[in-house]
Amino acid sequence: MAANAQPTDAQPKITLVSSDNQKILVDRDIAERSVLLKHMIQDFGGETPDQDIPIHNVNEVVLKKVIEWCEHHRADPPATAEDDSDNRKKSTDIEEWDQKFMQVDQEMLFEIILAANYLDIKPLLDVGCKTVANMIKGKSPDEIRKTFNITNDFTPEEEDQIRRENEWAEDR
Amino acid sequence: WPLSSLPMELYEEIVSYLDRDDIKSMRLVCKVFDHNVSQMLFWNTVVPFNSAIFDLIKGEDGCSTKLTSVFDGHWLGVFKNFGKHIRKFGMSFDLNEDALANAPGKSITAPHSSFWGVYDYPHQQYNRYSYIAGLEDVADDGPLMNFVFVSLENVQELGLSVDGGLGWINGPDSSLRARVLKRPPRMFNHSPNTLDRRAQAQRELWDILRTAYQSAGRRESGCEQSILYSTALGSKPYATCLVPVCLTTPQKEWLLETAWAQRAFLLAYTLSVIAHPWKFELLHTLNVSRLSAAYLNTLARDDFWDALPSVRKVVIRVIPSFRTVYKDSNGDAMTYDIPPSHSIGPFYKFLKDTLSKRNGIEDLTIGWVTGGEHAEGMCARNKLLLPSPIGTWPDMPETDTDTSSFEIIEFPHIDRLTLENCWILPQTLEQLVLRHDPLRLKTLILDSVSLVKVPTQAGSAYLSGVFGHLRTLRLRPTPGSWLEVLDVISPGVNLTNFGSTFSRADADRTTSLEEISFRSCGYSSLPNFFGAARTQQGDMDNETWARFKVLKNQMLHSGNAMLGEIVQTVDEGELEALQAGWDLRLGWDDEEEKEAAVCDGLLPGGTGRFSGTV
Repeated sequence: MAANAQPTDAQPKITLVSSDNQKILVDRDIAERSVLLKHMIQDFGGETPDQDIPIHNVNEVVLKKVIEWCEHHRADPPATAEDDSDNRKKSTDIEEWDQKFMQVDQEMLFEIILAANYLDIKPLLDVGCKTVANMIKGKSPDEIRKTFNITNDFTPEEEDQIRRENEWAEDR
Repeated sequence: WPLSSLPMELYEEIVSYLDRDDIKSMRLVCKVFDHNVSQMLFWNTVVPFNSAIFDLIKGEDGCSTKLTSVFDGHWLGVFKNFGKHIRKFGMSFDLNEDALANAPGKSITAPHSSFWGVYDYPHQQYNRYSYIAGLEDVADDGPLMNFVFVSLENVQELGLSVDGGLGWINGPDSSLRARVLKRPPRMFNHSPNTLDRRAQAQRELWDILRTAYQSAGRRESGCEQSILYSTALGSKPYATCLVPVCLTTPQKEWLLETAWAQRAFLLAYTLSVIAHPWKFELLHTLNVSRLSAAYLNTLARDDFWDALPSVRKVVIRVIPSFRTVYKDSNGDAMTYDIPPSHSIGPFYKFLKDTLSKRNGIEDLTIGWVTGGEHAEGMCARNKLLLPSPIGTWPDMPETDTDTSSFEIIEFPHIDRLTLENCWILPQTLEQLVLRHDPLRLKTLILDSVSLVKVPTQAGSAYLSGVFGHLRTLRLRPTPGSWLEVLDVISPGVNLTNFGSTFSRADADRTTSLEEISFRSCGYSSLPNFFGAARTQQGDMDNETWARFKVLKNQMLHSGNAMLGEIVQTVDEGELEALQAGWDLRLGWDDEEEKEAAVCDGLLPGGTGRFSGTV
């Protein structure tokens, strides 16, 4: 984990530019937690690029939050090559640090998920999706609506239709 | 919730951590959710061919199953909308034991009116259960089934489960644990990521019951628990409505009519597949998870398999028939018992004449549904085991060493063969492997396969204790033991590698076989064949024994000579040698499953069994 990380001074730095035009300086190995950035850096021929890398879809606040996560997880082993989605253990357990990290308002939570998706940081995406899944788990439709402040736009007939469709579909 | 900006793949990512009940709730939240998550609910769809379908159709127009209303019906709407999302599609038409137990009586007479008034007179024709007749009408409805198959554009796996109720029936024989945790039989061989809410509730109830009894100071013995539980719940465990050995007239009629409807269903199913050859380009697996032996012939037609050219993997699990049902000349439903071993021949023939010739099929799983380690109930678990249908069996297993007389099916096209839940003779297993040496077979998986132990070959010279296993590997293996068979069939190390002079392995053997996997294999005996005294109290305590004796008389006759019984007590020395020599693991890892066997009055599941890969 973070304790084993290499000294940061020796690391080459990369400048990221957020969508609201803020420059953020990060260590290269942290930036490379993002598969998107890793590939971009590789496209520079493996050299640490000296020009700024624009991140169009992510604003400064979110980008900093994402970098915070990457810093904490900088020494994690890289994700094992494409686990088959069927075999991957679908536990909703989240480690403590990540749980605390994800204690943000919903807007931020979804921003993080979208950013993780855009930057292709699978472990962060997983943590985000698990957090959302835990907010849904075991709830009734009404409770889900309340949790996420969603209005019901079904007519009673449509609702009835879905209920009946739900009834007969089984999986075993 | 950013309704507009979240792409569908992120919905899928989130939903992959949720169970089906949660998906159902999400569909009801709002239209955007419904649009984004519905397809996942239908990826794996099993349509039970039972009251659910019938009620839906019935709901449309009141009582009858008119074609027009069916087409407007919502059932088909689902296929229209979601058929293209279905990846695994199963249909099941299983006779439900509860429904059979509660088969309603029929009136013998019907009112007739004439000019002097109304009188009762016996029915002119055989009077049918309208419920089953309704199902049969739906099954007979060719266009309906066709419509279903046409809508399955992207299906990758087809499942089928048809249980006619003519096999072993558990009836009153189930532990309380089995009753609490009752689930419909599995169709697709994947474990769901999370338990659904019903399963969670069942699990919690069972945990509460168990803790309650343990804290009440009962002994830990699980078999005692199960009896206490049964009586404590106030149910009368031995007085249920369903006595397998003597069915009531309504129950026989229920069986008879179900059989009619199931035949109609299977015919419609196969014809629909045949009518759409090349339709299923993505289809790679056909999973017949349960099929009554009597219906095997419906699948034994080449045009059916011709219509499924892309299928690579086939799973067939057969329910052996313990009885047959027919209508006698008086129009009454009659049943009579048939030996379950009569199901072996048709299965063998089906494999030999139909499946072994298909050159597209590379992966085959065959096995029996009834009995064995995973069966529920003290009269079924570890018992009622039939021989593997890959070969005809010699008449006298203990004397016949002339292997040339065996008939063994050769599968020239198959890479991967799985045998499930069966017994096999040592000679048969050796022959199966050796005859496939020059063919394509790379992987052989033995899942809950028991080697028949012949009583005359008792006598354990194996040594136990420290370093005992290393010496055991150099001793002459007991004839007919796993040690002896493994020495011959192992594609890797054999006894020679341990310095044994008794190895029978062929040093010049060349084989395409790469590995043999064992999943809980061990020994079985043939108590009826060898005339060994059966129904001994053995390890059972008195209460369990009493329960067993009562149940025994209500069960179907299980004295067939071909029925094997798993032996849980196995020579420790040999197991240790297997562990040391081939790195095989002993027992089961799943504590829950172990407990299930204890509740049926047996030693914990997995006792005397081993798993691993050589």
